[in-house]
Amino acid sequence: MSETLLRSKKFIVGLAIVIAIAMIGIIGPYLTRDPLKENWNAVAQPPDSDYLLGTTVLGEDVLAQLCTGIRNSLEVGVLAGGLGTLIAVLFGALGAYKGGWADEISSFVTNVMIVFPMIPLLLIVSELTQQRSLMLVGLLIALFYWPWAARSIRSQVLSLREREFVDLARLSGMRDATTVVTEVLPNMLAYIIMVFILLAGGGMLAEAGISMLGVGPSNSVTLGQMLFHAMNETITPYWWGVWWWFIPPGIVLTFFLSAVFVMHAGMNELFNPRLRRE
Amino acid sequence: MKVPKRKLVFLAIGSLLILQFVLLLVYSYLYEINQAPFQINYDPLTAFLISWILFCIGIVILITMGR
Amino acid sequence: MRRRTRDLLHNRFAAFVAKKVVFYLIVAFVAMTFVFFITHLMPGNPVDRMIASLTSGGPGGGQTYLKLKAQLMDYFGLNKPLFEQYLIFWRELFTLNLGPSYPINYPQSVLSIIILRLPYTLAIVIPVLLLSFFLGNWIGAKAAYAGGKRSELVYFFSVFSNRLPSFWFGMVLVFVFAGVLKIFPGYGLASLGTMSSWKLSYFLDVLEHYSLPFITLFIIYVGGWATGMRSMVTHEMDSGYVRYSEQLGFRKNKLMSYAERNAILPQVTGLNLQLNALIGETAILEIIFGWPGIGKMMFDAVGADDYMLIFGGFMVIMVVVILGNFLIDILYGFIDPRIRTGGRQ
Repeated sequence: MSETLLRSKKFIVGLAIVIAIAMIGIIGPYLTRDPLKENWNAVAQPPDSDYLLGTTVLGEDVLAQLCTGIRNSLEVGVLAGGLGTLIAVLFGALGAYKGGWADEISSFVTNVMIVFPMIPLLLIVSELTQQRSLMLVGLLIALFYWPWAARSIRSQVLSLREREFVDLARLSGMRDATTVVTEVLPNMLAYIIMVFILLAGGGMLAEAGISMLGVGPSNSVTLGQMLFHAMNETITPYWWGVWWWFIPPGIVLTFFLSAVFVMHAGMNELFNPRLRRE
Repeated sequence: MKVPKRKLVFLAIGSLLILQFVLLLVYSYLYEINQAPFQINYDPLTAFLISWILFCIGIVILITMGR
Repeated sequence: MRRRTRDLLHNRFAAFVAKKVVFYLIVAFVAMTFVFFITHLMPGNPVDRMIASLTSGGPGGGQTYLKLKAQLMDYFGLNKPLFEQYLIFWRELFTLNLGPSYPINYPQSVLSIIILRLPYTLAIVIPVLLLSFFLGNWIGAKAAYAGGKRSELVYFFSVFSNRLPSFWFGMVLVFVFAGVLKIFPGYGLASLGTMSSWKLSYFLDVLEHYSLPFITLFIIYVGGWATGMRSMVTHEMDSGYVRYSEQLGFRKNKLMSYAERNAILPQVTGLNLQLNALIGETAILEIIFGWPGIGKMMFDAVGADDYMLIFGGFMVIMVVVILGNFLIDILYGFIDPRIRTGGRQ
């Protein structure tokens, strides 16, 4: 199946962009200056040969902040995605596989949680916690995002449940939970990985959103924090025109999310061949 | 060609919703030039916003019915 | 015809509606209970905080302090057992008593503040949701039907615009249109110092301030609908009946409307999710643009530790979300012929 995946143009393009941005986040911070080092001689400078993306109001290197920001945002996203996928698999796969009671309950819980508006909830919960680490934010986001993933995983498990190898496992007396873990999940591995990537992307977006409101991770440079500071550390930011400071984080986010979306679209074409011809 | 009754009802509602917004604007214009025929004692801002919402709903209804 | 509708309504559709009502009531119950427990899980005692702010945080613990605290706790019923407080909570809810806002607008009632601010948020949410739905789906359908390179182009544009972070894109638009081009104002409800009035100039002023947040969300959501509808219509077209009918000589417009009608159904399902997302994004944009809606109200409340307002606001948001989702579900049930006529597969 991996060969067919590699043939999907959408998947390849999406994956390439995701990897490229991730690379910037992983390797970038080693190649750039300290993102929090202020340079009072070069305050709010537009991009030039020395500071490729200019400087912030405090003279910090925007490019360095961008790289570190990508890394930290990715960290939150991966945390949120990982935990969220775990919970989603629990609610989606186990419930769907067992059927009947378990399915009713888990899908009901999922549906109820989906209705909750995330942003106000995140605001409230963030209000309760003073110092927020990257991990905490990732955790919170996972807690609010898993219902989306659970839904798709559930539908996928439902379709896999009727396949032969599952019947075989059941006949040979395997317990339900074991069957799910050893037979069903490995067959959906690509799908689960995609769900993880989707959740991670969504997590990055959510982190950026709450950071911009001031309730994001404290003391970390993330893409959202860059936006927050750009908005709040300039008196009249838009009139000062420090566009080199707040435009790049958003562009990176948009490209990353678009790439994730396109990857997902490519994969969907694979899992639902009906959609394949465009 | 006879138009089904239900469609007519919706068309009427949609047009009404659009009309109320236009009337509101007209009234506010008259108010501006001090020619308002009567006073409305309701909060202007809330009225404007709600009127705008209804206006959008009206447009949407008309578009749906126009298919 | 009318009797048949009534018969059918008594069967499938009514059952459908009933199921939805029960579901959403449960969601409401869960949400309110959640709010209750969060308020009681909060660190610290609200009475302590209250006394501290009244006495400018002087040393506590003295006899007078304890007496005062006991009295206040008694007054607010905070020393009752948890379950009894829970019941009181529900009683207050049903009498629509959401408490006074403290300390922001004391002693104004939370309910009155929320009712005041709700239209502002709805003025953005409802028009964006409805208008973007129609424009986006129309663009998507047209692109799908055109096919080829044009379809691909629309696809990439709509995916990109849909993935724009709304809060960031708002900033960008403010920078471009307010900062550089100076066409629209970038903040607030109306120009500084203007009083609310019935004048047209005032309305136009508000409209100007409304434009940027509206456009920000509008572009993003149009992109979303366009992407979805394009796929849906392309899928419909691949079903063969479209090309076949074209060969038979059907007019293109007629065909397009049939394809659209089938494709729009799953889109309406998406309307629910988009509504929920939109409410959240509008809240953020209100904060950024200073548009005085529920979102900004919650944000200010969080900043000032106005717990009554925070939770009252959250509960009202839940009600709006639940109502909206419910209405959309009913609308979907109305449109989907399978649910309306009660056909069993």
